[in-house]
Amino acid sequence: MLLGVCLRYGSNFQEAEDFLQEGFVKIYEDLYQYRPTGALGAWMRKVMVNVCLMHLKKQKQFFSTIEMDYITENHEAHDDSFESYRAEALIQMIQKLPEGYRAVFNLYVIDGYTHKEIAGILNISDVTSRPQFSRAKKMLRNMLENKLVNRDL
Amino acid sequence: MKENDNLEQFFQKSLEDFSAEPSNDMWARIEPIIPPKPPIFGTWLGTAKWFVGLFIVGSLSFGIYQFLESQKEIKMLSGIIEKQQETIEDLSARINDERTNEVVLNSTNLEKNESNNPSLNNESALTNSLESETNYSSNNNLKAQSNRNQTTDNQFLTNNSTYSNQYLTEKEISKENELDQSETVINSNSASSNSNAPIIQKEQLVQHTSLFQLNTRSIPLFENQSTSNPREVKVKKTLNPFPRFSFEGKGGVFAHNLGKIIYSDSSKSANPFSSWQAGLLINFELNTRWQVQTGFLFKNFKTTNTQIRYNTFPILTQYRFGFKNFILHAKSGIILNTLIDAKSGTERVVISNLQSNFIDFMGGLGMDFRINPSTKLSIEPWVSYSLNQVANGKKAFQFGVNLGAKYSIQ
Repeated sequence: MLLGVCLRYGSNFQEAEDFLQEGFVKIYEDLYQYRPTGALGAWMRKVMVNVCLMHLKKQKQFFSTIEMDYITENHEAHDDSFESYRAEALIQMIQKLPEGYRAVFNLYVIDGYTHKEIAGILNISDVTSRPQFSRAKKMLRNMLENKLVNRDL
Repeated sequence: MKENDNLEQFFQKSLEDFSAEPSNDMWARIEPIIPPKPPIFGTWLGTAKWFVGLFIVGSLSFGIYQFLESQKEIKMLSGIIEKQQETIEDLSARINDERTNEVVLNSTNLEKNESNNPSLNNESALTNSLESETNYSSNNNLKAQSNRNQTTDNQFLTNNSTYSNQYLTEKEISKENELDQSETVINSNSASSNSNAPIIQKEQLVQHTSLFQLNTRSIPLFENQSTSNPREVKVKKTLNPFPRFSFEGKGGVFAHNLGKIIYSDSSKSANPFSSWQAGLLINFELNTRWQVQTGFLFKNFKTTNTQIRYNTFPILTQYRFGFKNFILHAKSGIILNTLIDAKSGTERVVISNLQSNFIDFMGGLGMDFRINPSTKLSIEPWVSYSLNQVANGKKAFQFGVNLGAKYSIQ
């Protein structure tokens, strides 16, 4: 489960394992801070997300604006057909996103944070978080469509 | 409210419980870098928190014990004081009774003297006798003797009555009954009532007045003597209030640089004096000058987007100096800060780089205004600087003003 979290935030398997390694050490060090009021798994997952985000923040181009010329605005995806895709393939797609988009998408869709919270966590404004999220979705939609057309999954 | 479209739901369902197997050598890579086992209380900050907690609980228990003990002592001392007051009142009443008896006795004796020796009614005879050097000197001697014998009121009364038997006329006796009033009134009354008497008689009457006045003042003299009783001095020493505890409710506003060190964007830095703190402090007053202060303060650091909330536990020493009702104080010490949470609006957020615990070094100068012996109001500007890193490897600086009200257990 924890490696799955790291895979979503990392850009490849090697980077995800580096996150996991550091995350385990962090969990071991901070274990005394855990209060049994919540699930241990959820707490470990939160620590792991924080470790991943801390790594991503260190990278300079974290939230740089990326030209999205190749994304078409009026794209209609056939969501029903997406169910056949395997999770690994979806992870690979997320990993292809720019780091900032990837973080916003993961935090909002998978980890359930709001845009306000994301703005607080990533030290960005609401105005930055929302368009990054919609651009991430467009990129993923485009990738899913290309995969579907090429039927390589 | 979140509105997920199909794409979001698809990703959410597919990846929510996604798990993958790490490499076989993953654990072998983690094992060497795991730090040694943390101490039983966690980090040194965690340990410090335990000690601060124990100190606060200990201080409170000791304070309550001291308070209860002082209440017992106050009850006991009140009993002693009441008994002494009763004794003083009894003695005063007895002296008044004796004085009244003496005056009655004087008037009776004078009546007898008048009947036995008519020459005493003759004003000229009295004048002659008062004019004589011998009598005047005996008068002075008598006065001196009275002064020497102040410590024994009964002796004085005896001397005075002897004197009265020899020299007082009826007019003078009637005048003496009014001598409990002020000296001015007495002198003027004496002069007016003896307007027909020779001048030398008036002077003599003044002498009588001063002597009798001394007599009437015997009660205050006695009271003064009783307050200097060694027994009462001992009681005063017992009432020394130090060491003692006092409690202080405190709150105020402050400015800080937490926003600046968390956020690189300058537009998110803290607004001056928009942050606030409030709490309760316990002072252990060692003497009139020195005291140790601890307790709890809730701190709310406000930045443009977020509110960061900390529990803080100060341990401070304070030195006081000043005047009757205005007392200046200087204080310094450390403040342990432990993070509660951070909020953006009403939603909780996680600020990943922010330290959960940090310690400040704090200094302040302030002034207390005494309302009554137990209660004071205070105003206190202060500054603090963190001893360890708070966010992004940087330290926090704060300054502000506190207002408080202090209650001392007497």
